[in-house]
Amino acid sequence: MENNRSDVKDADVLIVGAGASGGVAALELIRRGFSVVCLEQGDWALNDDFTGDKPQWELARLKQWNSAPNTRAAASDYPIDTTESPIEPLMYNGVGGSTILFSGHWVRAMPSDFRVRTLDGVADDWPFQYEDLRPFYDEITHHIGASGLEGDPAYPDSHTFPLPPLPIGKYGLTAAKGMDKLGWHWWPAPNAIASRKFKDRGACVRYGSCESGCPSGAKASTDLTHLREAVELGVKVITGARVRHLTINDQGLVTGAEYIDRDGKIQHQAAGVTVLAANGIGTPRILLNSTSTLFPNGLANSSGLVGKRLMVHPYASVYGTYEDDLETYLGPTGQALQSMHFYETDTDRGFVRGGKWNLMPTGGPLTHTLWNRDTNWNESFGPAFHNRLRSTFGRYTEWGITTEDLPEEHNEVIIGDSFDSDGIPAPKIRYKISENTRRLLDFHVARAVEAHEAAGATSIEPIPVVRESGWHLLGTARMGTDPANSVVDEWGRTHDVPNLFVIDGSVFVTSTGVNPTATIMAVALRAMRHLADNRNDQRTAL
Amino acid sequence: MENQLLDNDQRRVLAAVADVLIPTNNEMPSATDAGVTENLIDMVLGYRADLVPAFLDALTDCSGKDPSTALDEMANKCPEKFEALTLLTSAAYFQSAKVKAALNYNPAPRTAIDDVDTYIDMLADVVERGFTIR
Ligand SMILES: Cc1cc2nc3c(=O)[nH]c(=O)nc-3n(C[C@H](O)[C@H](O)[C@H](O)COP(=O)(O)OP(=O)(O)OC[C@H]3O[C@@H](n4cnc5c(N)ncnc54)[C@H](O)[C@@H]3O)c2cc1C
Repeated sequence: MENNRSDVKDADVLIVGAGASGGVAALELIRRGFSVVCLEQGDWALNDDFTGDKPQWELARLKQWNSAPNTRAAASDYPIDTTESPIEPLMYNGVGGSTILFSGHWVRAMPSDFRVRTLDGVADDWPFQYEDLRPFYDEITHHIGASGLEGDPAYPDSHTFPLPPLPIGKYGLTAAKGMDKLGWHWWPAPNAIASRKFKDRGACVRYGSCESGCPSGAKASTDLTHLREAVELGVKVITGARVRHLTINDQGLVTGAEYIDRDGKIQHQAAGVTVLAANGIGTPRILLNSTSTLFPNGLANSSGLVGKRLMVHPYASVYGTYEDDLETYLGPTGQALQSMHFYETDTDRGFVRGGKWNLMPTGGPLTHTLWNRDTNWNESFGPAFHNRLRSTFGRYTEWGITTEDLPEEHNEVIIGDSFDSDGIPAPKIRYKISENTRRLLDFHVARAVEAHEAAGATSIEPIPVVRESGWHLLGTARMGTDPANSVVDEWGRTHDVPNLFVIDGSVFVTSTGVNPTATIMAVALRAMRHLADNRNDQRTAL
Repeated sequence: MENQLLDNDQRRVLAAVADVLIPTNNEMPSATDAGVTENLIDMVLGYRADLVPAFLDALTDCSGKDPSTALDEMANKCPEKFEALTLLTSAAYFQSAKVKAALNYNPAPRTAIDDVDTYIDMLADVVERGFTIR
């Protein structure tokens, strides 16, 4: 799948990052006749590289396939200084990007998400509405082979899925009965995981290892759903290519990117248009590292907002233990159910906005016997080892809560003091959980405890904020109509540099309260289609 | 056996601490009964080369001491060694066929069988309850 550098000429479009949004861009643009080069710091992964079907899985997911780059510390990863953040950022650096490790919760944002200022008087409205994005949600959902059930009353339209829902299992049914007792919303969850064979991907076989890579290829990571096809059609994906900064010309146009290749050599890729798809941390890092006389504060940063307004969806887990063996080690991981019951603002609760709940399984036996440094070891080992195992393994489910954190300028990605293995300045994140989010978390955790009680849990363990939960990296190059307070327009074009686009999670205006990838990919498709449709008006550097 | 990292003395030390960490109970075998100190520990050491130094140091620290006292000390003073020792011992334990049988652990692969019919009637109520979309 790798192209030699000698193959690579100047490109119409350079995409930096072969992840969720980069995959969408590559396929759309090559289909529309552009020559496309994609620079990706990591490698292609093969299904067999993943360990979910192998005996080492539970050990490998704690290190080699950990979702925190700081823990994994692979050659393709860059360090992120998190000393000023209660949340650890999670991602994967390689072809497919973070979708290689994503859980596949395939959730559309709600109409209210795009009108937060109008409805709730906080943050900002998006420059477009749910209805504008809807056709792109539909197209991508059907392209990737998402599984789900039409007709969820939480949405204004009964959007369809190409595949039936994945099994909710014994634990899903137990939780659903609890929700029914309370009269709360639930629905069999939509997942970007094939419940049946789809195109050249097999059906899910329930390893439950989605967050450490899918060994059966059922999960819709963009290496499988977009990038293979894009390469077949002519996109040149250069792996092991870490961009250190973008280059510009005298007219203030971006001319491409300088990157370090696998041999540590500096290379330049020239392109007429450059598209950043390096995620909510990688993209501001590149922009802030791209300083010049014309752009002394970093590229496309006249608003001063590059890197600011970082949102990460602080996540709470509420675990319930059940008397019966509910086979909670079976995947997908993936969500069995989702609930939007407490998604919308109710000011009586003392906060605005809300969150989405997902019911998830809890993995293999090793997960349940890990030692927590804050506890006496006798609570985990000795006779307690078996007691813990007996009460949790197969009997333990999670209501996970994705919360909407609002954009705040002091939550940010900056360039820190350290460097990656190629000597490129590495990012640091500064993040504080706001009072609104704290109240939101408290409220939702209390309700999730009630949901487990109603479902018959024998004991309940709430974790009000999970540190290792920064899987949604959003907002650090926001969209907007006004160049004074936004970085890109609604099509991802930076206000300052007319041939530079940003299309990853950085462009989110608010974080929404749902898992963002369906929205990231829909927004990216909308932007790249617009670029292709308007190519005659597009200024380029070549 | 080839590729064995542990000598007999280290294996004896491991056996003593492993059975304190994972003793036998009515339903479950102890660590040594499950075969942890035989080939299973070698297998998991191969999966996590990064933990081998801390694991070997942990065994050295336990050598010649009462296992519980050694574990107390290690958990307090060198938690990273304690983590390496306990993680790898537990991981080796769960590789054991005896343990899987005792746990009634029947992991994937499993066909993803559609179970919509188990809850479709309940969904009618969810729809009836409705939802206020803003
Ligand atoms: C464990 C985990 C679980 C998740 N679960 C879900 C879920 O269930 N549902 C959901 O909606 N979302 C989920 N997510 C989030 C989802 O994966 C991301 O939202 C999505 O992948 C982000 O897309 P992106 O295009 O912004 O960036 P990414 O997909 O992260 O892609 C960025 C790419 O850019 C490359 N890159 C960065 N910097 C450079 C550089 N300097 N040079 C070259 N290449 C570079 C990276 O290597 C990477 O491949 C999860 C994420 C993780 C880690």
